[in-house]
Amino acid sequence: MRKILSLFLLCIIPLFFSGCWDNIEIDERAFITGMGFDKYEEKEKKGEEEKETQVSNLKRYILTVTYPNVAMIAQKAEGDPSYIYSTVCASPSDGKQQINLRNNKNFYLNHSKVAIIGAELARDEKMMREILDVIQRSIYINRKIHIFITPQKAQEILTMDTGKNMDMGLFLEELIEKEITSPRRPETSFDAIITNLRESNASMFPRIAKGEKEVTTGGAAVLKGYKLVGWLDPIETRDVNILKGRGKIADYTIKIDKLYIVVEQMNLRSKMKAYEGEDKRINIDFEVEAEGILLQHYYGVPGEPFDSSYIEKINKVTEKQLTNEFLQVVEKIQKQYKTDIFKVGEYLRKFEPKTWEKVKNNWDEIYPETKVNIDVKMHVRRVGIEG
Amino acid sequence: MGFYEELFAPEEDKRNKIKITKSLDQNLGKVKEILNNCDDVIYREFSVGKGQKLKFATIYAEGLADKNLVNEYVLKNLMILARMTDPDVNTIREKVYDLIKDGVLSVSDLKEIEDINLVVDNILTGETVLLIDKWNKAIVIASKGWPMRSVSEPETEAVIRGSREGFVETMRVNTSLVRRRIRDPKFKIKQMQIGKRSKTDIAVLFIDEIVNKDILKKVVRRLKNIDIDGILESGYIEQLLEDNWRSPFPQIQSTERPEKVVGALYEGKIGIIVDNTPFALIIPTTFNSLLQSVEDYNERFLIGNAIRILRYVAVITSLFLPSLYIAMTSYHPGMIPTELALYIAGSRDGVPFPSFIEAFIMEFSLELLREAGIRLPGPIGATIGIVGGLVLGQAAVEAGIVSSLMVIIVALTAIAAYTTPSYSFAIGFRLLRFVYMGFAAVLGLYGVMLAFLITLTHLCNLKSFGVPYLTPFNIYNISLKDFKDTLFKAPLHKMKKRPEFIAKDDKDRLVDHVHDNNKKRM
Amino acid sequence: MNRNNDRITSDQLFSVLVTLIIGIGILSLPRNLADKAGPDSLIVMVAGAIVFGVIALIILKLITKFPNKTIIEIGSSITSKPIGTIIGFIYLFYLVVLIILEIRAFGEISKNFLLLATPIEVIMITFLLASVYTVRSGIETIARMSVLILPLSIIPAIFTMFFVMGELDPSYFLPFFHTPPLKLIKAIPEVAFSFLGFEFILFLGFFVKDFDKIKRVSMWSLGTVSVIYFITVFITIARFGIAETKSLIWPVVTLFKTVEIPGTIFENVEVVIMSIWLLSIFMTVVITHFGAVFLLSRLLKSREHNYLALPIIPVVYLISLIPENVAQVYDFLGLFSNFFGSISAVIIPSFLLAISYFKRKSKHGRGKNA
Repeated sequence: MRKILSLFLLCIIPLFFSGCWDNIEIDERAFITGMGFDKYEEKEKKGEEEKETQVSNLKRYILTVTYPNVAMIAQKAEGDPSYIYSTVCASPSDGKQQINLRNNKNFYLNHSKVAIIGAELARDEKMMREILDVIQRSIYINRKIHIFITPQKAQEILTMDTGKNMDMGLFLEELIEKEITSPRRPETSFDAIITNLRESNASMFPRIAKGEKEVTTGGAAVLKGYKLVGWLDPIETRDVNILKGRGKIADYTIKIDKLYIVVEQMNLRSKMKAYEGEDKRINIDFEVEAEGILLQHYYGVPGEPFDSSYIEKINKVTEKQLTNEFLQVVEKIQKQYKTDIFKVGEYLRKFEPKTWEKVKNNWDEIYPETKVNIDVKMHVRRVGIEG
Repeated sequence: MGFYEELFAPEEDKRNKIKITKSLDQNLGKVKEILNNCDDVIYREFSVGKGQKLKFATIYAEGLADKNLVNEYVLKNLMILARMTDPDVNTIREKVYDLIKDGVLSVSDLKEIEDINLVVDNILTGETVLLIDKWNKAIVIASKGWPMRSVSEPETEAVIRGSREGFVETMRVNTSLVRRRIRDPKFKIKQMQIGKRSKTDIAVLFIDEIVNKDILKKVVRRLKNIDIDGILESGYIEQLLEDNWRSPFPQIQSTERPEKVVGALYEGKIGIIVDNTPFALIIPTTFNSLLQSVEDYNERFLIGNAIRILRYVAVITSLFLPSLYIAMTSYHPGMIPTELALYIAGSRDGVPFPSFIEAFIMEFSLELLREAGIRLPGPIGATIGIVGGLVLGQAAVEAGIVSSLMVIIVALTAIAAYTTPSYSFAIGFRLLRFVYMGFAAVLGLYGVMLAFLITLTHLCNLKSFGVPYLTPFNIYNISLKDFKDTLFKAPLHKMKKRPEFIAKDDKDRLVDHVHDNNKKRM
Repeated sequence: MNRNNDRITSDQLFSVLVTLIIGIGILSLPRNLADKAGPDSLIVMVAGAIVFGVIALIILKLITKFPNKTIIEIGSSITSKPIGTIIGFIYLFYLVVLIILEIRAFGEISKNFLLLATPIEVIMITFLLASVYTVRSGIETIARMSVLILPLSIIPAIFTMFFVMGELDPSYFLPFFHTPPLKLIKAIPEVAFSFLGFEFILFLGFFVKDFDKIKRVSMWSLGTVSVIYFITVFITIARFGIAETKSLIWPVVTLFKTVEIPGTIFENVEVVIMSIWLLSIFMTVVITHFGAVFLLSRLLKSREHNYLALPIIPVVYLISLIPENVAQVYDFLGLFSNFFGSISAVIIPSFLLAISYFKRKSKHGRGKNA
């Protein structure tokens, strides 16, 4: 009995070693850091999608991936900082298969850092939802992946030279995960974006654009449902962030007595409230309370900034200027884009369930008609070291 | 008969008794017959008394018995001093034995025996036997005295703070080292002989009232069951006594340090000292006790704890690190931080072997170095460790056989393995490490976890003389009493009780101790 | 080698029960709750725990009447021997199916998160073989193991969960009580069934040394599990929101996917947590396996049960490969826990308890008459 058992075990062991099914050595993997998705547009595209029998030959996307040259990172070899592959494909995974035919390393997505979506694709709800599902469903792609929408083509962004001899994916990751995050950009992680999109049906995607020589990441793409409806420039994005209470640090250029002075905001408390007013209209109140520091005044005016009444004046002017600015931004979002990125609907659902019951069925129509009140309070606390 | 007497009752001598007769020549003949061809045995016949009428003979084994003692206090007394007292042989003939025993031999330890076999046994243990003509008893004079190593610092278990004494090869010295630390009459030393031919002396040490009698019974029963021709080292006893010989973990602790034995005795454990080896055994042994060092107790609370935790971390590192490296690099590179993953990938670029082979080569050469370091004479051994480690690692990286990170992993593993106080324990883990690497190579992290589960099952199943090996980790004690001396060590004044899983009767270790500054406040 | 004496302490029973109950269910519990109860998930969670507490009291009442007896003996002494045997077979069947579903769900999850290309057969067989080894070592070893594995598997997971604290939004649980009450009541079994495994005490009680403490200990274990469930549900839903939680198959795993522990040596924590969770699921499988083997040996009237550990495996293995896909596994799991779970945990114990009361009463009545 014992002999048979040991013989059996002896037979089993090689079977296991013939396995190593998942074994792929680390140096044989291509650590995809950046992915770009573009819509493929042919001149005469008519009838393409109807050809059901040739689904696999569909040309719908342009998939671009980039992965760093690891030998360079380990200082073993010189060369380009990254390898970039781009292909026209029916779906991202079709693109992966095509790239596998051309690449000597194994496609590996677990370290992917950035996904860039071309604006053309983002305007197409169907394709946008496909891409979001690919990212959400994937076992490998991290939910913290940074997502961007670019008005140009994602391919162009990924193939750009960062000027720092670096892989674009890694470069963008470092750019985003700096200690000081800029308020001129909305949340970048897929996780945050998709939660907003699900709960409020609206979300802001960070915008990335190609400049003369480098990429720039300010501003936002506004999505309603799963479709791109418009853009916000960096300052508008900052204002939205402040209203949402996210942009803790920001600076404002204020025109006061024909001088341009700069107030830096150091601390922020922002609150949104929505309720049904007496005239049965939905009111949205924003209360913003900020603390600031005078960053720039006018040289050679001693004493003035160090005067409490002058600081009070700065406060007043700043408050007025900001209120106007914020109102404009909210109006743009509310009236022009008709998107609920301030999560007003979600707020009503959670805190005013009775009101929500009334409005939820035609919220899309009611939302642009709501009344917006903005109350900004600015407290300049410090003026620097020049009196 | 008391409990211990019954327990330690010697087995009956199965040999035929050969009575000592009244004739000296006959007795001598018998002894010589048994000790035929044993040229190290010295026979000395001489006559004593007025007119040299009384014949005597001393027998001892050269080298084992203290020749000086025999000359000075036995022969001299008998031959010279006895004559000075001028005994009338005729009148005291009947009392000569008592006279010699009580009045002549100025030796502290005397015994009388009636069996030739015992005479032979005693000679071979180093005693001197005095045979007297016309007397059917023999006197055994304790004269054991052979050249021995002096007490010195144990090499395998060095400490920074602690006694510098280590056991030596002589059992008697060893028991005295222990006795010196426990001046309690309740501290018992029971002796027995094991080995048909070697007749090795073995002392079982325990403290009455503290010792767990069930365990003691088990130990003695197993000791008595041993029927082997020779015991060369306590390792023999260990292997014959342990519960599970298949296990890679030692179930009996061996140590060279007397205070380690003493500490164990105070916890209610049992010590076994075997003649001819400086390694004493401690029973029962748990996983936890193998990771304790005497120093932990000598150091103050915080420092002792920090070192203890470090050691636990080291054991885990030495077991898991190479296998985790394999699992992470060849199965789940997603677990490694991106920058590091890219660096590893880059540094492995061009390495021809899979990471398992890579790790195996390095671990294997490390084991080779270790073994070579032990076998080579002292200074060279140390050098080869350093030279081999440095040069081989560097050369292997340059030759592109292994990646540079692998060298770090292997070095770290090796260093971690050497922090374990118990050598035999560490070697068990070293062995398991290779198994883990194999599992990791086939099934990745899942394989490592599987191997861990199997190890855990084995450890949970393992018992050392009825005490679960992982005690006290796997018995709950809501009050955490038994946890006071495990991963953490409670401050000394808080360890009031002996570990409950061993000591049964006298559980108090320390009466309420109040620190001085607390007293003032009261 | 000296055999273990096959006795466990009540403290060990505590960890056995906790590691047993926490298994596969916890990974999908937040999804089920979010799906059925929406923002009122936490309320349902508490209510479910209380409901199961009542069930537990019934079970405990029954077994404290028959100290150190198995369900077979309890059944036969309350009713009759054949019925006791039938009850035994029902539980045996229940346990075997439970291993099958557990092992399959385990295979699916680890294939998804740990080993994608490895055949699921290999994962399952190796796991089952390890389980055989542990089961053969007896209940004492299993108990000792669970004591070790409980902190090993729970503490790192909870600890890691706390790293998402900053990203939590408790307002996802608003508004309170806005779900129709009927819907809430319907959601309660979802929670109650995630406590399944507790009814194993019906035969684990056989091994307990200090039986008088069993009531307190097992209620404690239920409490612990409830707290762990509560924390998990709270953190998961507060992190993802109702809509997102609903859409994730294993929201708890996804939760760990989003965790970023600053300055650690691990990037994607979910792999680490999955391998730690593997310990807990191993205990669940082992105890279920042991239970099946033990009941079988009782039914076969054999004193040893070691040799039965291996023969069960081929059956388990082959049947566990039947479900077509992962959705079906979960369908079966839901169906099975609803149907057999309620039979074994609720119906049979309360039935037996009722009969025993009735019998005693009638005996008492007769005694008075006489």
